[in-house]
Amino acid sequence: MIIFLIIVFAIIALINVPPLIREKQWRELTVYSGFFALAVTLSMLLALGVDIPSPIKGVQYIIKDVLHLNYK
Amino acid sequence: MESILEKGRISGRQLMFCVASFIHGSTLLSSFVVGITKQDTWVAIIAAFAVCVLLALMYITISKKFPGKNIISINDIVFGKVFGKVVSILYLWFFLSLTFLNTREVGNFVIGFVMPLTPLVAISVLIILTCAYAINKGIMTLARISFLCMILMISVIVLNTLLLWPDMNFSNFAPSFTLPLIDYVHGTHTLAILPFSEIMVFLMIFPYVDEKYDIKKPFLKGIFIGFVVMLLTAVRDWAALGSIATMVSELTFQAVRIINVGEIFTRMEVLFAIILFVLQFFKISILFYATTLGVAQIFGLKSYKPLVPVIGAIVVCLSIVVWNSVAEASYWGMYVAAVYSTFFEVVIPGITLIIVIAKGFGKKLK
Repeated sequence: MIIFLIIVFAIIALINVPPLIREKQWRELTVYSGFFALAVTLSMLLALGVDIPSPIKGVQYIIKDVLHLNYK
Repeated sequence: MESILEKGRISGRQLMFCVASFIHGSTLLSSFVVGITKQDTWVAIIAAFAVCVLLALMYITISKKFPGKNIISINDIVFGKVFGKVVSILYLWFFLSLTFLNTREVGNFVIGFVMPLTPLVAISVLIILTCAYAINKGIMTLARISFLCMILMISVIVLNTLLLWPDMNFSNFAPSFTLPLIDYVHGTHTLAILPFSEIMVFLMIFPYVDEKYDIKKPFLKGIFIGFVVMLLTAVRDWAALGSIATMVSELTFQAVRIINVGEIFTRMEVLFAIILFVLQFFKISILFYATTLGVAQIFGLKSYKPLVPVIGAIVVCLSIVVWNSVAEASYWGMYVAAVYSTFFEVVIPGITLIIVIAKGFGKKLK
């Protein structure tokens, strides 16, 4: 699974990165790398079976248990 | 800025089709409202439509004050450079969250009713791959598909309604107006915010409507088509199922399942599954497009296209981690989601409009 993920992300990078370098779009490349790192980290953690906390459950906790704005 | 990122232009008529398909895409999966307002769901839908028209007028007023600008640029002007970015990031989080929540909803539907043993990740990846391909082609391509989506949706719904006619029993609607008031408020709020007012995302798309079209008429017409279709579906499902409707999780799917005309026209639920996939594909594409375009715009990039696959990968991961079970998702949809979305669909645009009017920003409207 992890090898498969590495191959998939390598293909994505090979398609997207060379045009950015060729056209010297360094700003685009920086932002792209940031999101790329986030995507790789998230999917690796998932593949390794790490329990990632759900962001929406965090929102639900704030609305329900802190602000008490939910119905019922 | 926006013109660099997206060169395509859509027509007023295409905007109308987009809005109608978008609204119905949400309706298919928000039938849980029936559990709240029961036989009076039609009342809640009419009230929600009225609320939604008011909100839509608010979005149109904001957009018309700043022609050719989408909500990210409007935030920069209205709230200032720094605080505007904060508000924009909140919006982008909202669009992102709607993208992965909807992806998960489709996943839940497929696992629950169509292919029970498929892993969720396979479904999420396939949905996001299709949407990524579509938005790589730009908004014009999406707008062209919307016509097809709408024709498909209306023909399937009319066909199903005609075939379900023998099974309908309109005495299921009695007694009317007997529920406690809070249920009507809850049902109307949920319906107005979840299926209807998610069209707030069109604040990202208004600048790409060709200048010679007025956005107000097609936008309101699109909402009206969405409303009529939603009302028809809700009335049909309740008339066919009656109070069993509150016990099933996919109302329309179950209603269409009982179609049996002369042992020939049966198994119509496959048609429902097809329009669900087509319309949810359309809706997720629009949300995904808004997210990617907004991210590119906030960082001042020249193109949003390189970001599509990486943000897609993030959406797939989040759609998997977001819930552990279908029960959690339906609790969120029924009791919390409306409050969460109200903040982004009513509170922030409301504040924006008040500041715009108080400070006299933008061009004067005749």
